[in-house]
Amino acid sequence: MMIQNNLLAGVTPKLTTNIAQNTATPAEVTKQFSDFLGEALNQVDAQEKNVQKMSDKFILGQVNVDQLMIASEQATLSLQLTTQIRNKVIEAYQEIMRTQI
Amino acid sequence: MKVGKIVNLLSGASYERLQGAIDTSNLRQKVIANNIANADTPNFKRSDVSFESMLEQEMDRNSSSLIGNRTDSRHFYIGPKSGSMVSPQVTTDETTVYNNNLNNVDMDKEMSQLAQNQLKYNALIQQLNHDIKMKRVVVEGR
Amino acid sequence: MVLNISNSFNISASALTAQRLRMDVVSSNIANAETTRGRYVDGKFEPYRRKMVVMQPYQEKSFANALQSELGEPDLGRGVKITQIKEDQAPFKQVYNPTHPDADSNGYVSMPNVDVLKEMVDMISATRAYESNVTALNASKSMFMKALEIGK
Repeated sequence: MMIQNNLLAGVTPKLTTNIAQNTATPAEVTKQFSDFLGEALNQVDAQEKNVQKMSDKFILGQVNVDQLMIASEQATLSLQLTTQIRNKVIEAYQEIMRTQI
Repeated sequence: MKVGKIVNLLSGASYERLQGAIDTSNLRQKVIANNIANADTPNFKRSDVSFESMLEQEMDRNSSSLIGNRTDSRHFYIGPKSGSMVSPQVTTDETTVYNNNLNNVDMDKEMSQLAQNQLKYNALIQQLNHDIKMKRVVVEGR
Repeated sequence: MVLNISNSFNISASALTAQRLRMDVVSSNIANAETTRGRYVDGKFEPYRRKMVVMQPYQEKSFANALQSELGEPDLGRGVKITQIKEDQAPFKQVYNPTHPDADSNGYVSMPNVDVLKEMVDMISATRAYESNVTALNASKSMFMKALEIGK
C-alpha cells in the first residue's frame, strides 16, 4: 500500500503539471524521472531488507508466519511494479526513437 | 579478452541463515522420527536439535551497538557483524522420566513437534521461493 | 511479544499428555476396583485406595517465558500439567462376605473406595477433552497452512 501510494502519487501529478505548463525542458523531465526511479528503487531495497530481518526473526520464532508472508509479497509487488514502470518508459523511448523524420 | 566472474545471485548472510534453518528442519525430522520409533525402548532418552537458541545468542552477541573508534589501522574492529551463523546440534534430553522402563518419550509431545517442524519447513521453503522470485524478476526484467 | 505457532502447539500437546495420564489413572482405578490387598500397613493388608489427579496451569521454564513474565507483558496462556496424583481419603466400603479370605472377625471385607460408574464418567470426560485438544491443534495447523498461501 505504501509504495503504491508513493509511486502513483509521484507519477500522475508531475506528468499532468508538465503537460499543462509545457515549459519543462527534456533534460528536466529526464532528471525528474531518474530521481523518481532512484527513489522507487531505494524503497524496494528498504522493503527487501525488512523482509530479510523478518526472515531472521521468523527463524528465531519471534514473528508470525503471516507477517512474514505479507512482507515478502509487499517486496515482490514493489519490485515488479518498479520493473514494469522501467520497461514501459524504455518502450516509450524506443518508440519515439523509431519515429522517422 | 578478460571475462568477468558471474557471482552467485543467491548469497548473503540472511540467505545462509535460511539455508541453516532448512538444514535444521531436516535434521529435526530425523531426530523426531528416531524418538517416535524408540517410544517403547527401555532406557532410551529422547533427543532434540538445538539451533534457534544458539543462533539467537550469536546474533545478540554480534549486534551490540557499541562501535569502536578506530584511529589507527591496526586497531581491532569492534562493532556489529551481520554474518552470524551456527550449525545445528543434536542434544540428548536427560531431564524427565515418565515410565518404569526409564524411557522419557512422550508420544503426544513428539507428534506435536513433528507437526510444528513440518509447518516451519513449509514456511522456510516459501521464503526461499520468495528469494528466488525476487532475483528472477530482476534477471528476466518482468 | 513472543506470539508464534509453537506456543499454541505446545499448549495443546501438554493438554494431550495430561488427559492421557488422567486416562491411565482412571484405568488403574477400574482395574483395581476389587483389590483388597493394596498395601501392607501396620501388619495388615489395606485395600487399594482410589487415585485422583491434580491439574494445574503450567508453562515450561525457558528464558523467553521468564523474561516475558518479568517484563509484565500479558500472560499468553499456559499449558496444563498434572502436578500430583493424590489418593482419595474417603472411607473404604464395608461388604459383608464371611467366606472371603480377607474377612475380619465380623465377616466384613474392606473393599476399595472405587465407584466404577464415576470412573466411567471420568473416562468419557478425558476422552472428550483429548478429542477437543486434538481439534484445537488441527485448527492451529490449518491456520498456519492458510497463512502460507498469502499472495499465491
